[in-house]
Amino acid sequence: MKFRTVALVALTFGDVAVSGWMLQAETLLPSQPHLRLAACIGCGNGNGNGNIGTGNGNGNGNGNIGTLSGNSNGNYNSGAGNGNGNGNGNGALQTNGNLGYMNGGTGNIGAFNGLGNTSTTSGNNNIGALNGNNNGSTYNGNGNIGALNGNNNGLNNVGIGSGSYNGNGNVGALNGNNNGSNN
Amino acid sequence: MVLAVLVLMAAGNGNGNGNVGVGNGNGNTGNFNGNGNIGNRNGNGNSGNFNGNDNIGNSSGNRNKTDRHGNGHIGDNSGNRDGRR
Repeated sequence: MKFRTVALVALTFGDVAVSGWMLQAETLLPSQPHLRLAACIGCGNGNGNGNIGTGNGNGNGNGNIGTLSGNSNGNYNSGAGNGNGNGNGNGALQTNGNLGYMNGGTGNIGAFNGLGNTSTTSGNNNIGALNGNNNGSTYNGNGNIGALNGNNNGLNNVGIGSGSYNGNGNVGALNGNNNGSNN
Repeated sequence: MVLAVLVLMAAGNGNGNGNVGVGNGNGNTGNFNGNGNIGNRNGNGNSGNFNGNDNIGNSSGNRNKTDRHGNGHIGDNSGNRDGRR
C-alpha cells in the first residue's frame, strides 16, 4: 500500500512539470496564427487504387510536408470521376504550373501526367493520374480528366503531318490511347 | 520503264478525342476515328477514316477498316466490324 502511494505522487509531479514546460513554450511562439505543420516522411501514399465504379480514389494524399508523400494515389480505377485531386500540395512546387507529383508539360494536376512527350504541345493541362504520357508528334494527350487517358499516341510515323491531335479532351478512364501510330 | 510514285498522305490524326466513359477511342490508325463517344468501349481499333464517332451506349463503332462506319449509334453493340476489306 505504501509503495502505491509514492508512485502516484511521482506521476503527479511529472504531469505538473510537463504542463509547466508547455505553458512556457506557448509564450515563446508567435501568437497568431496558430499554424501547426507536421513534417511527415512517406505520408499519404498508396490510397484510392484499383476501384471499379464511380467516384473512387479521389482526394487522397494531399497537404503533406516532407518527402515521399502523396504518391501513387488514385490509379487504375475504372469508371467515371476517378483519380481526381490526388497528390496535390506536397513537397516543393514544380515548374510550368504543375501541381502534384511527377508531372511534366504544363498545367497538370495530379500524378504522372505529361511525361515522355516529344513535343511541347503534348501532355498539357490534364487532371488526374497517368494522363498525356509518351506521345509522339504534336498536340496529343491534352486536357484529359481522369486516369490513363491520352497516352502513347502518334508514335512511329513516317512522313510529315501524321500522328497529331489524338487522345485529347477525354473524361473518365482508359480513353484516347494508342491512336495514330505506325502510319 | 516503270515509274513508281509514292504519295504519303497525312495519317493518324484526330483520333480518340472528346470521349466520356471508360475504354473509348483507343487503338485507331486512320483519321478522325473514335471521337465524341459517351459510354464504354466505343470507337476502338478502327483503321480507316471517320469511324466509330459520336456513339451513345456501349460497345459500338469498333474495328472498322474502310471509311465512314460505326458512327452515330444510340444503344449497344452497333456498327462494329463494318466495311471490312
